[in-house]
Amino acid sequence: MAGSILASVGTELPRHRAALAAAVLLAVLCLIALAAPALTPHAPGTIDLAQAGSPPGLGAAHWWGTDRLGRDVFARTMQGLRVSLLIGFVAAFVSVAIGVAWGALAGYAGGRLDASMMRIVDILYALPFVFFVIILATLFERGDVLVLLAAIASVGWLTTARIVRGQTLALRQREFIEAARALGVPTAQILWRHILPNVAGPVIAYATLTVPQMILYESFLSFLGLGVQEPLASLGSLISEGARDMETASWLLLAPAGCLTALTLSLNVLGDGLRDVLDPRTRS
Amino acid sequence: MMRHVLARVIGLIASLFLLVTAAFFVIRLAPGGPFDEERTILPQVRANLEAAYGLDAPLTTQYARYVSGLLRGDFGPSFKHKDVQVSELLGAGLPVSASLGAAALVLALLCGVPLGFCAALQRARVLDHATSVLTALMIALPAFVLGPVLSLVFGLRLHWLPAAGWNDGSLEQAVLPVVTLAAPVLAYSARLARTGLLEVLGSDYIRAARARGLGLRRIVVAHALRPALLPLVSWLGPAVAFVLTGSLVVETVFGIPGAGRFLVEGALNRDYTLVMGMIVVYGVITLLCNLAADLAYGWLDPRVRRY
Repeated sequence: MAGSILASVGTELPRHRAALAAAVLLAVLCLIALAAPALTPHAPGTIDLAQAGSPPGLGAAHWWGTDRLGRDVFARTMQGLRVSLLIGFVAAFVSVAIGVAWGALAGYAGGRLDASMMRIVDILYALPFVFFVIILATLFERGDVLVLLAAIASVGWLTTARIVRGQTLALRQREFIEAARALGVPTAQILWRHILPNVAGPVIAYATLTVPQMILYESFLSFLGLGVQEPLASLGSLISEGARDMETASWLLLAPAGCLTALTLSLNVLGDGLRDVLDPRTRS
Repeated sequence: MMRHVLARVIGLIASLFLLVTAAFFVIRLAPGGPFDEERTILPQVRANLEAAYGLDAPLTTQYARYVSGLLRGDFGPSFKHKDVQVSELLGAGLPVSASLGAAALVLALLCGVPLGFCAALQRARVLDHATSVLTALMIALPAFVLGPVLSLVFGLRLHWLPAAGWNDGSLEQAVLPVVTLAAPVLAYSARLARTGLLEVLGSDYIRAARARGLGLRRIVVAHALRPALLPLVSWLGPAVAFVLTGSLVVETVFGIPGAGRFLVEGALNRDYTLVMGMIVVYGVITLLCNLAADLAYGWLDPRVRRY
């Protein structure tokens, strides 16, 4: 099953030119973010007041300029990019895992358990859930990355749960599942060995779309000052800092804002492409 | 139909109750309190303060008191804004937030839906591709990027519009914040309208109408538009929640005196009643919009009406 997913991505995605371009852009962003410490002699936290507020320039010592404290903007932005990527991917993984478990269980169980589990999803969907995230992020130790992760991941699982539940509900009727049940295979094993591999395609596609959402939530919290705390920076906290100084030093805003946009844009376009390829409902 | 509405209203009340209860206890379980300040206060003063605000009672009693207050429309006093009721604070901020959010939602739907329909009718042609690029960009650009960038370009560099401020919602002042808030909603509604119309146009009854020789325009206007709007309508509830969340950022970016800041500020200050008031009001707004979207869905889709 995993092989066939790879095969269909391998043959069909290259025809999806936008998705392919997005995948390349994403790979380049990740590579630069990871290689950044080798690309610049400046450390993200080094304060150099003599150089404070110098504008970007190709020949300059700091080619993306420096902030008010003389810290190198390129090094800081790349560090923010790494933090955003890390939080985005981990939170997406956690929330997709919750969503898959919830949706598969509800869809497979059916009946009243299904109805009440999905009712909970409906209720949470209707609530301004981000408010809870803000409260969680504010009330517990600020800057604690684990709390931040838990708060963000708790938002992302609802859509995945709905998708997986719908697919599982359809799969449950199929002969091979019935055969497994007739042979006495335990429920947990049916879910793991027979249901999960068959919902993997759409799950992978939506997981790709969950990553930029998680990155945006994290940046949103950091922008409000509730997320990652100094000296660590994420793209959101850099944007918030940059927005304060944008009148005199617009590069402080434009560098992290550009990186964040490129990152979320590439992940969204790639996710849309993967969904076209992997989700049977959107395949035409 | 009446039964359907009644069931929905009961569901709404239950959701609201759940929200209030969960929020109340989550806020209280967190460490810290409204009277933790840098300078320590005398234990007696602290005890008096806590007694005055009813914080000395057991948590369940406080909860019962709060809920019975809410039922009488009393949000209680703010803990941090001295001698001010939460309802006064919200009463000052909410009209501003509401007009900002409503303007953004209306703008987004008025532009997004026609754009999506046109893109669907021009499928795989220039307009369609342009729309998909535009919507992808708008979705990727969060309010905290779009807002400062618009303010920088149109406010500080070109001097076309004020960079920040509200000034009682004059048109000039409102353009940038409303556009910032509307952009992602516009993009999503255009996408939903586009896929909605494409899906309907591919269905059997449309093919049958074409086979009978009806013109495309007639088919679209008379038969396709209404069902094509269904996915969009069911998304309106979450869209309102999205706008409310976005307005937190937009109000911060443009320095708008709305209610959004009370949530973060209240949570940071442990101003319990202020945070609860925000959650209750914004929760009621989203739940009501969800209900309205539900009823509109039943009105548009006769298949649902029977329940």
